[in-house]
Amino acid sequence: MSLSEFQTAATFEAVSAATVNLDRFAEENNLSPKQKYCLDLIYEELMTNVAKYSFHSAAEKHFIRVQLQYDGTDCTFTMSHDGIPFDPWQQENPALDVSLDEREEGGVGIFLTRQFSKSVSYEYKNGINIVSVIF
Amino acid sequence: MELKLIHSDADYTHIALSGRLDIDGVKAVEMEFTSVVTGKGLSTIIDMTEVSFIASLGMRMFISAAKNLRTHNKKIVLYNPQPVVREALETAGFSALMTIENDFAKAQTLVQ
Repeated sequence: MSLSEFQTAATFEAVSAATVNLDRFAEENNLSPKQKYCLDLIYEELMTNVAKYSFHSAAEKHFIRVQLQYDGTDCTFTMSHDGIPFDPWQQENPALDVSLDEREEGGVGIFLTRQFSKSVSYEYKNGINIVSVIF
Repeated sequence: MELKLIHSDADYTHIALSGRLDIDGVKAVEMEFTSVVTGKGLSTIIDMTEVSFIASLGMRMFISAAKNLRTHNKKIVLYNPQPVVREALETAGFSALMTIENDFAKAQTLVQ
């Protein structure tokens, strides 16, 4: 079992800068290109969602903790933060079977994350949101 | 992330993107992309051959441009995305929004 942990401030800039940890983890564990794509996608969608919505103010003073695990077959991405309680998996799926005129420009991030995952979970415990994804 | 203008005439625009359409990639290229694609207001082939990653921010950029062009009866054709990029686009419902084409001659026909 391989394990990597890091934390980043809850801003787009910090979230983006911390992707170096994903690259290192993927290289150390020889992840397949598809699994690395899933890792990058899950990280970007979930982390930017938190940076955007989970803190009323001063997101730069809050931290998001990330834990990555690999058991030789599956990866587990776990993100925890002390922002507003929010279960991303309760978000409604976007309407995809609509014309371009009716289509929302955004709103597919969490949907994509779920589609590229084997299983997802959420719990709120002692003031901390814990979001996990296995892929 | 880079954007190259490959071809531009009165009929259509052809650009090539290369790199990752992640937070940094979209930030780096979005202004130029919008300027070239919706600024010209012509149907556009976007060569995706060298795009190794796309997430929802990049998809939003494409949908926004396609909606803008649609008001002029113009369209976007995504040319030759890598398999995993294509899978992400199709999962997000892009097949209903714009053509994804691996044959360049067909892509050209669609925008002329």
